[in-house]
Amino acid sequence: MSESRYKVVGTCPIRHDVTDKVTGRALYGADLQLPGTLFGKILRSPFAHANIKKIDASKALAMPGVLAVVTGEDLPEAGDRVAELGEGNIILRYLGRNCLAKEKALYKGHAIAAVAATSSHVAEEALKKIDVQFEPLPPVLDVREAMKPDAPLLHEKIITQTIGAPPTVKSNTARHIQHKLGDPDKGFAQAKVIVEREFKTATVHQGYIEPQNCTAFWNADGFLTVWTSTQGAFSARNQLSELLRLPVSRIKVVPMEIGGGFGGKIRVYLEPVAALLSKKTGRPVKVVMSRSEVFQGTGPTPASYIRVKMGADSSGRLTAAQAFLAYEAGAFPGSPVGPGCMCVFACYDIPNVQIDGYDVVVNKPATSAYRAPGATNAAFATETVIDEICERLNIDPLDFRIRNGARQGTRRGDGLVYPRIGFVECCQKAKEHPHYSAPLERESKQDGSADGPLAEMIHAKPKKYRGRGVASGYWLNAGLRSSASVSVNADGTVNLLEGSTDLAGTRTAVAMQLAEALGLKAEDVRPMVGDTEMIGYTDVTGGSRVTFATGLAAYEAAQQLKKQMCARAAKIWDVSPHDVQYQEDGALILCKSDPTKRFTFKELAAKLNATGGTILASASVAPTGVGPGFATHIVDIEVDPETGKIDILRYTAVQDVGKAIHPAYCEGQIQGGVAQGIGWALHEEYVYNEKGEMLNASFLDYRLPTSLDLPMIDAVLVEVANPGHPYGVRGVGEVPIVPPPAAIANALYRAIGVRMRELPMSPGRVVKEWLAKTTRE
Amino acid sequence: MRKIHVHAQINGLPTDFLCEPRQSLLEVLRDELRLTGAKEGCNNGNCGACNVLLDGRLVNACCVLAVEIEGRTVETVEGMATPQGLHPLQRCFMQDAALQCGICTPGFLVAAKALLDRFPHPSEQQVRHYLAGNLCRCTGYDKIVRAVMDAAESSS
Repeated sequence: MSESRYKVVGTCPIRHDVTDKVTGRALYGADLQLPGTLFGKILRSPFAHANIKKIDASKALAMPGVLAVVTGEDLPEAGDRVAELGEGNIILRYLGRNCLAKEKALYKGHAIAAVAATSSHVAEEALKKIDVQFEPLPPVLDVREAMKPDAPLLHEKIITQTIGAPPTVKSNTARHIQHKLGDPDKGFAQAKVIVEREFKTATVHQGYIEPQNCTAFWNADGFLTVWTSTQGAFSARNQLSELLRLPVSRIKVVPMEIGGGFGGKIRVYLEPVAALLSKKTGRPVKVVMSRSEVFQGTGPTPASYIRVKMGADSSGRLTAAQAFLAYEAGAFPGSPVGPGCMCVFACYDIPNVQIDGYDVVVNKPATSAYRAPGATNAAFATETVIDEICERLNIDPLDFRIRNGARQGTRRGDGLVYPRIGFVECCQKAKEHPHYSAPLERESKQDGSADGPLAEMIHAKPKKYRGRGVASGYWLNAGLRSSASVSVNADGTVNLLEGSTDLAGTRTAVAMQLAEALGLKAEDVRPMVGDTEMIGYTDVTGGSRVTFATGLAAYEAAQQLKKQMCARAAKIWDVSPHDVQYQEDGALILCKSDPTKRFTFKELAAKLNATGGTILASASVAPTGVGPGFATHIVDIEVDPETGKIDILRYTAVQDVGKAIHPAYCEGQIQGGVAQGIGWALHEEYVYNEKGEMLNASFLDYRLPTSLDLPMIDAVLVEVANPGHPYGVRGVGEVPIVPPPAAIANALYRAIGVRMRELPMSPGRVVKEWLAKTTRE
Repeated sequence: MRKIHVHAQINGLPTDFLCEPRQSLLEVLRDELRLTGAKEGCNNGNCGACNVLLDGRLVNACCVLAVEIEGRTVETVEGMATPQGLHPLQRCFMQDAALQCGICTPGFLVAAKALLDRFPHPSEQQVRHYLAGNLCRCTGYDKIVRAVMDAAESSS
């Protein structure tokens, strides 16, 4: 799998931060308790859609121990500019309104006011004393309902942004995107088989185990410090600066250890509110969300309605494809329908394409990024339609993908032309994998060999059926901007400061690249994530970009460090700097003209202080050579048609990772992404009543997969080097969530002949479709 | 609200604290005793991030009132390592890359310790069954299950 060219890259050292994480010492946001801290709680709307007529907090403020109350009136008007968040942008006015409502509550759980008190219990009691007069309005809860011309309007200002002349009427459709390539009508005319299907997917949550939290302290000198659980300290600082009208230089954001994000911890929710409470009280204010607040008050990823039509000729070549994607933005515009449109046909080389995407507001929480935002919804549609085409043409689904797969030079429907990618390699690898050719009995063996009445019961048990499915997925991956700085210690180790908050071990993946570039060991690097005053601007940990981009920053810093080490050796030896070279193998500094002159990195490091001081190097990068990511998954399932329960028997995920810096953590990313995709496929869903109230806002009723629901997940790493990175790195984290729902749906069809076109494929829905099928027959 | 005096053994040390009757064990561990290894993920017993051992039995600290531990013993993740070194489970979690963000890790370690205390050589299915009360959103459980099996192997 990995060539021996590298000494550190491709190995699996113990993570630098992990001792603190297994002993309970690592400090996450909620673990912080500054002296004199007050505790904040948020009052949330009980209505999905309502005018806010009046807020009276006088009774709450009169309670002993209550020090301040804030409402939307305390937040300055933010204006129409767009906040660039790296993954999922939003207009600032909407971002502010989402943190604290003004005029209108747009979803159940929308923040209305906040209290700071001497204890969280007192703050909670005070919320009940805030008197809010609501005027309830009819909610709109479904994307297609919201698009109708007579639907209740959420916003007064929204007129659909579209190509050509803008419409004149107000609408819930904030934006219409269209991509066109070739001539779809002509393409469909050439097709022998055309399949067109409709799909629905439910709202799902990132489900990070650590709820949103933050502590803010607005000091008397006008400087604000915020300790928070965020995917991007600088992004949080930008948002705070815009929302609070405070220059970035007056705000320090300290990223605490973060307990999962998956895209959901990019936008600010609590930070501006805690800051306002701190400003009013002059004390640090800590706010931590409950789990039900996380479900109802943060951004899940959208429910969607998707129509996909694809055609292939008799030789099994795709001739045309068309997609209609309508994504629920939630309360404010900004769903990931844009990336959904880029991803929907991204795995295939299709000459004629039309894609229409719609960003639609509904009375649900404002949606946010979630691991490959928008892509999983779209792939569920495309990849099951492909499966039907394969069945109609009687072609093996992996052969079909190899034949039609996107390659270097393929033009995607939205115009992008691919650099070197590894999609076809993934499909070939999947085809060669023992899983794909392993025999799969269609019906499960009856368990147990008991006799007597028990045996009768067992034999009376309905049959369970098995099926195998495949599906593929794609994610763009991101580059954005990253900074790293390095200093040499006298004992020959180096300190690495980098700006990317570490969600899953990226500190080590970045440190390993620095070590490789210098010829040091991974443990010779001490990596640390900096706050916004320690390190240069770095974008969010998102878009699977950290190992790629922040790794590149560390690599670039290493190149400078090596030059400086050579210059220092030249000074010590009194030779020209051109006469000195750095040899990574062994981390040696050599004099070219005199082989007797040589330093190990460690020897020279020990001399630095006495010869002019230590050596520092830093780099800031904005790489453009992003490597797109592809994956193909194989799954075996077993379904009991009487109960509709689907069990995952075996799972293999093949993915092009470019180059695995730390293979075990690449596998971990893939296994975790697959698990989330399986949850999305089988049982995760926001369940609403007609009033727009979420009925399952707890981990009991919104079920994440547990260890009992999953088998071991075989992650197969394909390494098609990304030419845009010195070690060939592509992003890894997001792609693996994309294929599972379609792969499982395709497996279910193979098992019982039922095609599921709605997510989740929960037991009730499976039984319903099974009964419909058996009744038809 | 008047506070109540509670005395208990926590990680082997006699400990006294004052708490309100409505405070959970988790709240007191984290906010009063500053043992922040146990995490709050759900506060209703569904995620296991706050797992501790109460008289040797695995519990969710969010579902126990602090006043209930009077005279009893509590072990948290902070009590797993000794001055001599890390617990085999902690070592195996590190070596096997069995965590990503790490927020669920303390709960998994305590739950896995409870499992190995009772069944030193569990099957994979036993491990999966025993850990089903602990949610992890990062790993897909694969490497966690392997780490627990490896720890069982290494301590035999």
